[in-house]
Amino acid sequence: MNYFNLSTNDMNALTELSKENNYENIQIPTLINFSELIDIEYYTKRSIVKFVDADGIVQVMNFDCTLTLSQIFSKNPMYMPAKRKVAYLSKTVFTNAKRKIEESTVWGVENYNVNTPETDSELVLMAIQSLKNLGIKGFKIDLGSVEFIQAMLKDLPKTSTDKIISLIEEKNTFELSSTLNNLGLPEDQKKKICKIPQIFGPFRQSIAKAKEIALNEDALTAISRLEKIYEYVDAEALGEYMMIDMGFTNTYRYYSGIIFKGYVSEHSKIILQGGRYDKLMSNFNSQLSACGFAIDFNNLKEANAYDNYSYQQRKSS
Amino acid sequence: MITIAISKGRVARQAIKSLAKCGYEFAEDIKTTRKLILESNNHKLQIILMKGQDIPVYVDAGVVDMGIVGKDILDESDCDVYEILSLNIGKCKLAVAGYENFDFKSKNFLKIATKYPRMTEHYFASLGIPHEIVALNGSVELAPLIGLSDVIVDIVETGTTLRENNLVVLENIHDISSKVIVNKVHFKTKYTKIKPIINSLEANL
Repeated sequence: MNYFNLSTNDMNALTELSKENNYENIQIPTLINFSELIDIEYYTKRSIVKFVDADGIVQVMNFDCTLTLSQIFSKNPMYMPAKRKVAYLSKTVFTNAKRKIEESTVWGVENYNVNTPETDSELVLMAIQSLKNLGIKGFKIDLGSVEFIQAMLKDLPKTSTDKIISLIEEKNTFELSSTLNNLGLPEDQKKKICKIPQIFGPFRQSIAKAKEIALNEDALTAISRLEKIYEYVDAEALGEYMMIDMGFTNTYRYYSGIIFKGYVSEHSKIILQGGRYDKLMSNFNSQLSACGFAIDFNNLKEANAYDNYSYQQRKSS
Repeated sequence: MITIAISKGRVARQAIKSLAKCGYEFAEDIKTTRKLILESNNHKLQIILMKGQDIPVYVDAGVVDMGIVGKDILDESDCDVYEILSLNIGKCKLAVAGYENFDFKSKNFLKIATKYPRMTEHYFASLGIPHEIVALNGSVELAPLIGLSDVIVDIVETGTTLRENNLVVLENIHDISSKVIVNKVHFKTKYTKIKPIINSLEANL
């Protein structure tokens, strides 16, 4: 059993934030019809917990709130709030790497408005503010772009891109360079792709390095989107929380634009994850754009940051 | 301080030698000490000696920052870590071995004994040969000799053990060497401390 209880104070801190930004608080169903998910290739099917009902219909436990909400809002547009922004506190149930069923508590937001630099910026800003509101100290939001990677690998044979993407994700530069050698690419292009995994760290320096290796207009467009987000966040004097990693690929596979992860220094768990996933929506035949993020409270609890905070807060209040 | 997990033996000795060249000296003699945690004299690095199979688990959990581990163990584990560097130590091959002239690719069904079920499954599934894998813990060479399996999949360094048991390498699957792995979050948050250690390993191994 994984007991987790979000304190009233912390819940209020998050609700306040979502209200300020016009997000409507909603609840997420526990069971979803599996047949509607069957063609979506964005998750490993073995991580899902399934039930078969008396009529042989397979129902699955909510294992990914983003996926569940995408399905609901694309099939049933009447449920969508007028402002097209939702916030939720929910449980997810899935099979972990040790083949045990695990339950996790998440709080997250999704925004189904048009894809603009402003919606992306607002999302990243909210991610920072949510962790701040929870009193987490020493966290960083690490930002990357799936569009950038796609633009950089645009001219490569489709058969090799999967392998190259996973090598970039692992920051496995030696194997990346030998794989690229086998493809017989021009020296300059090869060198630049090889540098992708090494571009990460403080925002401004890393962006400058990313511009040096950009192979085409699309890559530059992706970089300028990241710059706009940083300007927006920096205008709120929160730029210190931002880092960049141009080597972030699409681990959750449904992200198609910006992607970001949050962590606390000295701890190894990813406590927040989010990004833009317009392509996932089109998989459900929806015209909507979408982006969102979620805080994983089980990882936050493990990182100890949360417990320390609650304790201190209780002492002071 | 940065912690690095290394398996006892040759890899640890070579790693300590190359770290010493870059200013990370250790007071203990690795050949004689029974300590499991060694700290460098400049207090910047701690070496933690453990069983190879456990290294990816510790690094993934972030209890240690980085580790040196064989590619065979890494591929067999389920861990999510950065694979930063390939080292020139612990070099060997993962190979299919069996009796000489045994044409395993033409068989309708194969029984394979191995300590590496995951990589074996991956390889034989890609060949499309129907097969059954028997997971063993050691002395895999025994399996074909006393009839448990048709062939084995194992790590081959010199091939002496195979030869002495009348077996030969039938096919090399891929090369294996030691890798430097780093916890994904620590690589970012402790980058300035981890980078010099990676550089010193890269320069000397």
